[in-house]
Amino acid sequence: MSWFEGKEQAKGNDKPKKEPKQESKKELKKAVEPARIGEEQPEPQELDRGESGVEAGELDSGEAEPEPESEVPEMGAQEAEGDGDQGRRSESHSAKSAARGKQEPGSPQLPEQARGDAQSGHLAGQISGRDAGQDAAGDAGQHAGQDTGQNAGAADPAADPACDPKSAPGGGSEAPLQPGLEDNLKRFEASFAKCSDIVFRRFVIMPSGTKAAAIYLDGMCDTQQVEEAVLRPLMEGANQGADRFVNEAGNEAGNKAAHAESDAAQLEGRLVSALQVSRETQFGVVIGQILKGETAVLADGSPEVLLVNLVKMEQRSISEPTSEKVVRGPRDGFTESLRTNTSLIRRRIVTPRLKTEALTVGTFTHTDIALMYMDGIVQESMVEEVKGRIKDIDVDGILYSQNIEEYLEDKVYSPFPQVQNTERPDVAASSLLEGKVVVVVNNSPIVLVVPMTYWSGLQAADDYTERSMYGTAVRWVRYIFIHISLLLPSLYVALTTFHPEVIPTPLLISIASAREGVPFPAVIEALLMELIFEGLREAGIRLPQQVGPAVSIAGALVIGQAVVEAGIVSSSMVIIVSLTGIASFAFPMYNMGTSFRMLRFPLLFISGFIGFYGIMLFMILLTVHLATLKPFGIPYLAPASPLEASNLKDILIRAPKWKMNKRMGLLSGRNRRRSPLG
Amino acid sequence: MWRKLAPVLLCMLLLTGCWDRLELNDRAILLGTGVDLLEDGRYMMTANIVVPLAAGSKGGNGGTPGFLTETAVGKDLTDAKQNMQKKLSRVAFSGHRRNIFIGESLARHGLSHLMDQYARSPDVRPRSNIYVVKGGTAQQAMSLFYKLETNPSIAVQKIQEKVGAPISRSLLDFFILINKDNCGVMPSLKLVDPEVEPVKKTDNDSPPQPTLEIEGIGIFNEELKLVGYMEMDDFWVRLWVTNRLKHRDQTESIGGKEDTVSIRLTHLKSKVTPEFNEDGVSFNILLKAKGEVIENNTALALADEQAVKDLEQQFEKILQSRAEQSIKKIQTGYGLDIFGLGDSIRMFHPYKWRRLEPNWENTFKKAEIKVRVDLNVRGTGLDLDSLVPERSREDSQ
Amino acid sequence: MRISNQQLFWMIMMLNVGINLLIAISLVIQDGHQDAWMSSMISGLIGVAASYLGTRLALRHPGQTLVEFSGVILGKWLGKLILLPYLFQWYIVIPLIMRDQYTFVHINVLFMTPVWMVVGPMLLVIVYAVYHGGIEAIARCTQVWSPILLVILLITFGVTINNLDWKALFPVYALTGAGPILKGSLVPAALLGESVNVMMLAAFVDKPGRGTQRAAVSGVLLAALFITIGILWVIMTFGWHIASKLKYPFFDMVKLVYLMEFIQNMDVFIMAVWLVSIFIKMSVYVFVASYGTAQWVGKTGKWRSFIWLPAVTTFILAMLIIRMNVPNRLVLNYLWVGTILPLNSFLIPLLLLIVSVIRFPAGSGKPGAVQPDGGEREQTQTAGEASNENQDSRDAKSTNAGTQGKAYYS
Repeated sequence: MSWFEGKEQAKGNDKPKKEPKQESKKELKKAVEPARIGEEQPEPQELDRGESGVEAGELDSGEAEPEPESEVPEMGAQEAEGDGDQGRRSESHSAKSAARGKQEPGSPQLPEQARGDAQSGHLAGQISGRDAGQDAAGDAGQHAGQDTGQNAGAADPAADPACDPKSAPGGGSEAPLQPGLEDNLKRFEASFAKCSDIVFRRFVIMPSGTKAAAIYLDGMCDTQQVEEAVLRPLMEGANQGADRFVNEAGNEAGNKAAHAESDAAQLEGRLVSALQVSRETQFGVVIGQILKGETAVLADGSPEVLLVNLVKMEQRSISEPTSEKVVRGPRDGFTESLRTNTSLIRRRIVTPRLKTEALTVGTFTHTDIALMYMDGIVQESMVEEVKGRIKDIDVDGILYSQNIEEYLEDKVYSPFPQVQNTERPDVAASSLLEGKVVVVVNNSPIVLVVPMTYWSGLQAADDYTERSMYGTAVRWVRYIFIHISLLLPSLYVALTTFHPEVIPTPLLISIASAREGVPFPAVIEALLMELIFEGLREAGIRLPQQVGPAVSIAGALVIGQAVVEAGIVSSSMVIIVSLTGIASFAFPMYNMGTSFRMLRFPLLFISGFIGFYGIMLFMILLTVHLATLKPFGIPYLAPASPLEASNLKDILIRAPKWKMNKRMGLLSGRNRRRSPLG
Repeated sequence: MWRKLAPVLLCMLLLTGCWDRLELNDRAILLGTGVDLLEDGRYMMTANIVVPLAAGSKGGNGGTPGFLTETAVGKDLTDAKQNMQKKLSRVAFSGHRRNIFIGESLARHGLSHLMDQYARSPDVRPRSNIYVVKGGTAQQAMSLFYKLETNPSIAVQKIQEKVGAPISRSLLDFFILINKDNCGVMPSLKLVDPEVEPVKKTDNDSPPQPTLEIEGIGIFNEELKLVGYMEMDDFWVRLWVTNRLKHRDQTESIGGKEDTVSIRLTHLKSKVTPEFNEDGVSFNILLKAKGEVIENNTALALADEQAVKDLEQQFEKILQSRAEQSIKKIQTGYGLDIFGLGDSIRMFHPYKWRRLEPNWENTFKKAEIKVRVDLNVRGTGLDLDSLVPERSREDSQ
Repeated sequence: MRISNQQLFWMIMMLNVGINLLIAISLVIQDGHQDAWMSSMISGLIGVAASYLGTRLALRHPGQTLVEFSGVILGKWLGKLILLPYLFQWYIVIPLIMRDQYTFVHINVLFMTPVWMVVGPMLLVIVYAVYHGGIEAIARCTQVWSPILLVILLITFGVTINNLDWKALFPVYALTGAGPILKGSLVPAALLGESVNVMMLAAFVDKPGRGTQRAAVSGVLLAALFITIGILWVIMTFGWHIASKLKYPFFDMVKLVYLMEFIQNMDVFIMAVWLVSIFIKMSVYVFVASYGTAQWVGKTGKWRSFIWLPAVTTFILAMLIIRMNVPNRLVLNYLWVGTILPLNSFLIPLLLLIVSVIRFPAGSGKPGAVQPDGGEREQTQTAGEASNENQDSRDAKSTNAGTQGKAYYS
């Protein structure tokens, strides 16, 4: 409002800012409370906007109500300061490396030189401003002594534990933004000292001539859109809007009505034509949002900052998931971008009952997490439980979704995974329909599905894309092979050394003749071969593509052939180990496979000591352990135990889709029938 | 603190040793054992041990045989086995032993001092075969090299199966019979030389060798002493009467001439019906079979249905007389109820059995046994007459 | 800790099938000869009666275990006194079974392994199961293993058909009389009659009622059926003379299996069936013993710390019994049949039932967690479970969330 009016009104308004700020504080859940880091994260507004996009018809975020009239900043004072900055420009990130050699620390750049260098992707006309003495080149901060306290704090944000490091400490994060542009900018520049990819772009809003600045993170910002949607309308004046105001301003009452909107609200509602816009007054929040790629628009005279979400980051395109392949089925897999992942799921479940709740975890990484579930199918207590556990996470960084897995698990030291991960959106979508909760983590193509049962770790997506009978047969083959991968070496050792009478006589004679001359006992032989196999597998992961085939040939020849001929290992052992290895690739879920592989070794030990008796004891122990696992209160072995016969159809056989019409009662207490959707 | 230490300590306990683990190439796999009686009253045990290298796929039938024979002497079986262990570099492992050979002299002397080990020891598999070696010692029987199989023990076992006897059960059957009927039977083997003297003209010739043959059964009385043999020609009668015979090709001369007809008998069943009178018991045995003519060397024209019926009746008579003869031989000769006739009384007329049981042997000796054969010839193999012209057959008569 | 009716059924069935097929068969055949299967059926009826009695009594006081309601019925001190035979039974059964299992494993499989190496790991697994999961984990484990074991048993019966001679069953009844048949039925009846201990387990069922009764009774019935079939098969395979002399006739019967030159000596896998069955029986008894002792002493909530009591006594007693080599026949015939069967399985429950009917015509105790002890059980269970589950999760803050999360599963 005041930007278009001129200065006389700006001077008149000098209201305190506390109360309205506090209201908005509650609404927007600022992260600057020093109470507990990580407990309450601000919900990034772009996410909320995304999910309520269907219901809310407005551009505004649901929470940010129109502010009461914002104060009119001390425009004049700011303006006076800001004048000198017009000629400056900050460096873009790409220009930094180019210009690094030319610059000395602390020297302000010559406009022409900098202009010539900083052409990467920016419009030629862009002029960015920077405080004198501050430099984005990452040199030892030559602050001209302006922000003493802030700078001292900013140099070492992690040392202050009570402080949210994304905001300038020492009380700077808690204090709301001032109306003055230069003050705000100083704070920002203090926080972003030595962050050369944060760009400050000063401009002037026409026609009111208000000084403004845009802060963005280079590399994450869609520069073209920013120019089109933010800078152009603001700088060119958007005459229609101004005319509108002029028309209204002629009327005194209309004037007041027009004044009722804050400046930022006006910008948001009328001028900035970007899709996702929000307003913010908390310094810490703004810092956080800038770091996520949003563009912050500060205007002189308004303590509110407009955050425009025009994020464009380079991402991997949607490709086939590497760890879960199917023969006949969709081939899109999750990528590292949160929004892409949620959209992949949204494409499959088209209902507003699919809720996406947003959380943030990690004090330095501020990783966005989306919690997706089907309202009405899932049990609320489960969702609350998951949310509670995620919110309890107090860590400095979350880099992989598997880190969150460890927080979600009940028993971390159990060999069995209690959280399912998948790279396939169809698996995630079908889990949602069963009543499970899906946790999508930013920067990770693996989404977590909670809770998990033992059987879901043994099912593959392929079962459902093939015919029912074939699916059943393949499922049983897979079960057999999975247990072979666990038991075969131990059984072989136990039977040949403890109970040779079980083996048919001709086979026994063959094995005995194969073992003649082998220097190791069977247990040691088995352990040795298993170790070599695991080593081969581990090495194979890291093989560069060129060397791959050669190494596999070498492995096969050396390990398989030569070792037997040399008489170091018997040929029957090689057969056993390779069968086991093949069987261990039959796992559809990688981390189930790893747990079984791990369990093979103690089983081998035990069978070497007490034979089949030991194997049976170990299997009983495993079953008991599985029976005591209850991730999120769902027994791990459900629906085999406690028994839900109607759901055994999906375990023992692969019943046709029209037969699977009941969800597991433990997961979805009241909504059992699948069709019709009740 | 101790909670973390306890599992470690427990695992260390495991390492104190593996007690029962025995590597496969530390075991000497015994496939057959034999027992003989020496003159001084001690027992000599012979064992057939597999030599894995030679018996495996890489070794073969040429060169060294896949087995070796080892002997030892002792006061009873366990003692002998322990003495054998003194000669063996590997632990003797009887888990796969399927065949036990008993020398004739030992059998006549009595097995009651030996058989206990076969029931009590956990080494013994109930599914084993036990044989008496007629006219020889077990050691001789076990040292023979059998070309078709890697091991003579397996060879003998397979021979027995193919003859029509139940597979691999003779030890168990022996025990059951001994306990139930106070008599026992055991298949008997004989070392036979080839019928014609082998002549080896070149080095690569392979004329018939001396080999083992299933000869019949040996009959044991309740003291486990061998009392006699039953030849193969009679042995099958016993199998038939006790419902164990699976198939038999029977060749008989018809009509008093030398020409023979052979009928393959299948579906052999028997039914024993006792009749009680004052002096004792008499038995009516009904033997049923179905048959197919597989060889007809007589002039009978088998295309004619009536001829087939005639053939049937004649065969029945012959079989009947054979059966009665065999049974009589045993009945009068040994007095042992190896046909299981007493079982029929015991099972279906238990109260009478209570009276008869104490004196069963005598009653059995005096019992009258009548056999009736019911043969049903189903097919003749050809639709009409034989391919061999009739006139040629008539000429030979 | 809640178990469902179906889990109760499986548990009771598995408890009885394993031990009976292991040790009872030869004893029955010694007395019953070829009619031992009749003895087995009679023993089944006796077992059904015992378990019916037990469930009837327990259902009059739902939510309360034997220890609790005996105190309610007879008063505190008399109730505690009358429980002494039960305590004795629980503590002595486990070492006896352990001894049987050791003998079996020792003779057939591991003859040089020292005793503690065979007994110790089993005991450790049992202690782990009872400590970490309680009856619930045992029940779930049973539910998973039972169908597998059933299938193996059925396959065994099918595969051994070839060796059967049905004539060995004759004559029926004539040569033996009613006396020996009844005498033969006593031993498995004693073992099946142990199902009266369902009085302790019924308190944990989530839906007590007719379903519980049906579960317990049909468990015993099905177990008796399997034992009868087992005895039949054994008689038909060996004839009763030999079968009565063999130590583990069922096992030897399986050794006879010989199919197609390939499947032979499958007895090692039958050992798996027995191991699981015996494990279930022993862990149920360890649970009952520790829980019962805890309740008897009065500290129900801390029953987990009472586990060491049966564990240590089992270990020591088992070693002692094995050393002294007490013959099984002696134990079973005199101790079990003579004392425990009539006393524990029938007299005391009858007495309690009569007094209960007199004193509490409507029964006492309500289902669920309203009883002081029952409530204690609920709360302590939740806390115990929560603390168990959060032992290795990151911090105690999730306890609340954890409890909340457990509230909805049934």
